[in-house]
Amino acid sequence: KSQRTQGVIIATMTDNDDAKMTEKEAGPTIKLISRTGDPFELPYVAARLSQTVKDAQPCEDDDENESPEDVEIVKVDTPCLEKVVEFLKHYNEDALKEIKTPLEDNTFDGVVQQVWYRDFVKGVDQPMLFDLVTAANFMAIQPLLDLTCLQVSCQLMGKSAEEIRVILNIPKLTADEEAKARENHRWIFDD
Amino acid sequence: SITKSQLQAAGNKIMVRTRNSAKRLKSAVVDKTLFNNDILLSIAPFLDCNELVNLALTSRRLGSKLDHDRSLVEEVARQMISKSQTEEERDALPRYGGESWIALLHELELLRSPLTFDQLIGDGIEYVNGDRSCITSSTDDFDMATGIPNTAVCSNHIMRKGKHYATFTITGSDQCAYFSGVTRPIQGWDKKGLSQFSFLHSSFCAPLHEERTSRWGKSCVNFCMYAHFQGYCSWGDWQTPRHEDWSLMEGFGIVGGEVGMLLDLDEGTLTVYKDGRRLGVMKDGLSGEYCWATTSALLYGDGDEQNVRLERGCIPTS
Repeated sequence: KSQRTQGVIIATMTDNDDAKMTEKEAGPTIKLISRTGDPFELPYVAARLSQTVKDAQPCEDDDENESPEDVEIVKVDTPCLEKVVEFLKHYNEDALKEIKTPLEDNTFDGVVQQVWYRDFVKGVDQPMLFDLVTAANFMAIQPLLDLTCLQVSCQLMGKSAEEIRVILNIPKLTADEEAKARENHRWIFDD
Repeated sequence: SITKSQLQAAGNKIMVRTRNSAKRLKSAVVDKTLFNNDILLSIAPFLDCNELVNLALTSRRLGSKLDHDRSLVEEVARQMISKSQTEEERDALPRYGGESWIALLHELELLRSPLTFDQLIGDGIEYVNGDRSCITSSTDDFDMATGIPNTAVCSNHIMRKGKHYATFTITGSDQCAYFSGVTRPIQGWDKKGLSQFSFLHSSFCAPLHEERTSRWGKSCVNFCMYAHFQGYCSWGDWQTPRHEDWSLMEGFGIVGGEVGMLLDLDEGTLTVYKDGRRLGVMKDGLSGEYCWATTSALLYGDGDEQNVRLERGCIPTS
């Protein structure tokens, strides 16, 4: 497109040109491949938040890595990896503020002020939340691990052992096992 | 042909099977995630000790001893202590043989928290505006000749070794008599319904001795307190309380002020500071466990403006 204004031609970019510019600015891309072989492409600069992905690159100098190698994330299923990639891309645009301990608030919303991250965690069901915890641990993505572990912790805060079992669907202890467990932690019941 | 009821029964079976398999999937996912040392270590910093214990109580795999004689949750507690404990905290909080790591983590949390009077013993003592670090005496029927004052104890923070410093800031003392210092840890005395109580009075010697544990050690100094008004030292094994002058003693008189106390359990001494100025070692021969305490008696008036605030302070360098 172009405009003629006072004899000066102003060339403006098309949407495609915009995309090409953005892609060039974003740098090289990388594919992360799920356990079942599904690839997810994202800018390398976003992917390298994962220490596992960084360590998998042959190039020692990360900033010089023009052609990052695709990485097979063998322990993460497709739906979970899709969410992980979504997180990595967004983090690259708007980093999660560090979650410091001890917590200043004992509610998830009180600790995580950024709405996108709140919605990201609350938008997944329990199995996916735990899958994300495992994936974040395996891929060594500390912000994602902190965020998901915080959500798990908030579910457990203030809950009795029985309530935790229900939330996590853990089988109940037998009477003998419970008595022995309480014996091991008698100090807390003496308070 | 299949009847409607047969179809319904089959449908119900499928629903139950689906629900069960969903439950099994959920269990499997949780199993894989939670019973993992690295992940528990990431979750644990967001939980307090009570919550860690409840987690340990949920499942044998979390709460029972493993190969190295520790449960998964215990191991996580041990790693959390190891990662975050400073050298000063390590000196002040050595682990007793057989002590649970979660119990030690609980003590470490207390060591980092503000000091509070968790036991108020006697009728005439209460918190100021609900502030558990600040107490006041509220009754006016204290008989100086025969009466026993009331006592506030910080028994939720037990000092076992190393150096500990606290300040007792007294606002106005012309209506109250105050004694501040250390005593052996006692539990549950605020629930005994006592109208009056003091470590300085031999009436309570026998029941106090029943609280003895091996962690008290062999020292006969079961309590040691500074008399705010005159500055003398009251100490003893509860059976025979002594009230003694000491060489560098100074009292506050009727004026309020800050009494600083440095308990050094390596040297076995209790050193007194007056408004930030070091007076000197008031008593030696202390060993074993102690906790902070203050005893107050309202002599006259309504005690509205008299109170004692307890705070943890940094170890003085001189």
